[in-house]
Amino acid sequence: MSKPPDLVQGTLDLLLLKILAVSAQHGWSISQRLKQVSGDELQVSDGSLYPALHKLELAGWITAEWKTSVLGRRAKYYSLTRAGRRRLTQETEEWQRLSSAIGRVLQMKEG
Amino acid sequence: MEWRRWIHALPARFRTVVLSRRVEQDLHDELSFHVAMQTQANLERGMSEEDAARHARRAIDGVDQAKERCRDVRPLRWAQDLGSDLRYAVRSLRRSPMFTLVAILTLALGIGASTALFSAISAILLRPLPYPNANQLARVWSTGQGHPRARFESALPDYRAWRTENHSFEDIGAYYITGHALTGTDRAEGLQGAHVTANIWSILGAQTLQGTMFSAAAEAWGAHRVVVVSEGLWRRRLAANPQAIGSPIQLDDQPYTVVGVMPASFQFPSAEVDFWAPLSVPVSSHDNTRRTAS
Repeated sequence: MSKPPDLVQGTLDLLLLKILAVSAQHGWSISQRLKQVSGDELQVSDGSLYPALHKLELAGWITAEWKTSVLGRRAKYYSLTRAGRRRLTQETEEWQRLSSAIGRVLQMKEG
Repeated sequence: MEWRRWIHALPARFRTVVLSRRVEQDLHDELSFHVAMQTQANLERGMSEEDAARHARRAIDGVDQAKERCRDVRPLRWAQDLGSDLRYAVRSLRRSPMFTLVAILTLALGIGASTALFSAISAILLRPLPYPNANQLARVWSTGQGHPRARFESALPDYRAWRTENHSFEDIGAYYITGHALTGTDRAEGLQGAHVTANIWSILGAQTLQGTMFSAAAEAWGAHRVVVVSEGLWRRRLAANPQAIGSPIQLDDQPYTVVGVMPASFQFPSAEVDFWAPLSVPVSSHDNTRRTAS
């Protein structure tokens, strides 16, 4: 199994905030959603997922709650806090500015 | 940043430090849940039961590794690590008492030896002399022909010649130490006396505790029976009485007058000295020719 290339620093945080902005969910379903939506293009190892979630929780961007899942097992559900929602807006703008700037550079005519 | 996120951040951080056992249990449950869900998904994809569980664990890079990475993002991780390292160290030491004993003894001896050595070096080499302008003080010895490294006491005529011909130092003083008996009391006592030239007081910047120091006039034979006593001798034999100034004491059955008391901090040339008397010689033995080559 080849290791997926590392995401740009901080990008995983942005993706997680976005996924949680759609709906509150537990870690496993977050990992499924990541794979689904990005079409396996962004391979985030499940091992990096949890440290990232915990870091966001400790920073106060997201909060967690234990609830009984559909299968009857206790699961930790993450949801966005208000501060997290504002953070997501900021980070999204930041990302779009950055990627459009990079895009403009890459569209330069050669020769 | 904004204060509102701390409403969530602070309790979360607080939990990791104070409720560490709960947090560990939660971490275990969360990752087990993930592995169970992934295993289930793998089974539905047609994997064998064994493969399904193995792939699920591998997908999170191993449960224990994933836990460790989650612990790494917690605040005060270093403090918790330090605590568990210390507990581990104590347990290991308790399990092998002989090793512990040898280690402690080795450390004790090593530290003790280093401390003793440093104290000696500090006292001898590093501590400045307890006199004002100590860096301008120097001690002078005579050497002998064929003994360039020997240190001999200098002869009085040499001292006199050095003092008059000296251009390097502000002043040069001389002293010698000799034993005397305190007599004339019901209990005689052996004393150490330093015979010093009167300029020693100004060279060393000495101050008396009581009374005065003697002047150069006391170096004349006949005027020489004055002593400055140490604070120790003054307390021990003179009842620490200020009235002792001007009173007589007998040294080797000769009457001397106590003119002053030096504080205990004045220890010239050593702490064993009980009194200071003028360096004075009978007129008949005056000899101003230099006896040794320099």
